[in-house]
Amino acid sequence: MISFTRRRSLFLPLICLAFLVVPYAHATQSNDFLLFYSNDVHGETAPCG
Amino acid sequence: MGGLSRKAFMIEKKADDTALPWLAVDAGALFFASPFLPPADLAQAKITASGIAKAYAKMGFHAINVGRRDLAAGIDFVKKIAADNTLPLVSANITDTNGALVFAPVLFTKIQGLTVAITGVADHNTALPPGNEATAVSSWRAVLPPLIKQMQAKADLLIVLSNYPARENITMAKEIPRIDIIVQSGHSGANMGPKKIGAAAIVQTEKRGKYLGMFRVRWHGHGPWQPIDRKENDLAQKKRELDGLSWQIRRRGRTLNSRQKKSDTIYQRLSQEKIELERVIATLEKQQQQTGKSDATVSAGPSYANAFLPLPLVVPENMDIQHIVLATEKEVARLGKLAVPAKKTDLPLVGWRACMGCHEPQTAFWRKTAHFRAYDTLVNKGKETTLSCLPCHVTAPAATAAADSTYLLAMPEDLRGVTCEACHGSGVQHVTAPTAHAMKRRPQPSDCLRCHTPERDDDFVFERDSERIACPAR
Repeated sequence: MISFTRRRSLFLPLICLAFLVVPYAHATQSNDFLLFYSNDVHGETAPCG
Repeated sequence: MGGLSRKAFMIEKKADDTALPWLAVDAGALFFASPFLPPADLAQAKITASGIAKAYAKMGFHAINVGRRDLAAGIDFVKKIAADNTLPLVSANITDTNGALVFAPVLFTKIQGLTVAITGVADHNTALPPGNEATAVSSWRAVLPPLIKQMQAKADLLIVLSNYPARENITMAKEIPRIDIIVQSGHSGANMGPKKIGAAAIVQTEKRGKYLGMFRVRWHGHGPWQPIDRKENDLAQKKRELDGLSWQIRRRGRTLNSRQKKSDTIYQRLSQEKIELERVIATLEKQQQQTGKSDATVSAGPSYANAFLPLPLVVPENMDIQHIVLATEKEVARLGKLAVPAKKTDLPLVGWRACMGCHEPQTAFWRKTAHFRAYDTLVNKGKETTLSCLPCHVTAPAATAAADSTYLLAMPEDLRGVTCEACHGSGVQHVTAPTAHAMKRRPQPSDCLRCHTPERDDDFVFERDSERIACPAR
């Protein structure tokens, strides 16, 4: 268990961390995604035998 | 359909590796090996098609175009397997004879805050298989221009899944410049693309699904596609960095007064970086003006990275999909066993034991080759009753196979495997009068290429490989 005083001492670093991370989250925000496509006649990917 | 489980594994792996959301599409010609199947093959082919539908639904594909080949068992069958599996089939140009669309003309999906609209078109230039008498296919020119306008009003990114050949798709991209991506199916034996026509990128993997195409999209509005690698260093990237930096400065400055801003080292550092970045951007813009390159082509528009992911046997299986594949293959084999007719005795072939009497060393040599074991490989996989596999694993006259393939299920033992007559022709006359009716000494390329197609055997070279299996001289 973390004591009340310990919790209070964690508060400021956590807030600072959030301020540090948010700008980068903004900077890396993107419209990236993957489009998988296949051309799969009869679902094949290998010979029969 | 053995590779579907490897495809499913690869999609999951790449999505995990990149931590990016994904869409998956197929441009059609998925369910059947040919638009015109021998009637005897149809029952097994329909079971396989149902299994494919189930596997694709399980893999979470977002849109599957209906190609002409997909109608091999009639349009009602395609509708049924789509309904049974909640499969997202799409087609903008397949209608009933009253002109009513049979499938959804457009499917919309959301990804990364974008709306993506996906439509599909089948090739209207060729005849439909039997079972589609009440079905019509319109030209893409008739249906796509108004449809694309509707899609454009509702979506950011427009994708067309096309069962047309490449030439037609290039024309499509030129005539309808708002299309962003065209995914081709069916026709090419090689991986292709991305071919950039105006603002569209046309892509296709080679047929038979030996590769999975992966097109990474970085969307910044409609425009000509540029490779991500090159674009990372260009003006648009710098402008995006400036946006981020400006945001940080505003955020930092919100709690500082004018005097504090001057003494705050972080604020000052960010401000200095911004001045530097603005200088770089100004230089890049000046360079572009000098080279006459349009800013719009650089700062706006989408970028991409395309890859063709091979799916060899060493790729692990997705067990859920493998379960569907095995259950389907088991059902196909069960059906084949029910259909086995009486042994065929009137084939115009003699079988390898008839050759052995006079050609003992040649027969002994052949019995050490993979051709001799060709039928056994099917038996080992439980596929000796699968009609789509048998033609390349037994020796049968092609004309007979086309007429009624069920006799392949009851081949005489001497014709199981790729036997002497597969290369040298029928020995019926030769065994009665050997000198008067000489056999063909060497096979022709067409004899081998019937089965050793590039899709099945991409390492086959006729001169080299026919030499390797050539029988010793008498």
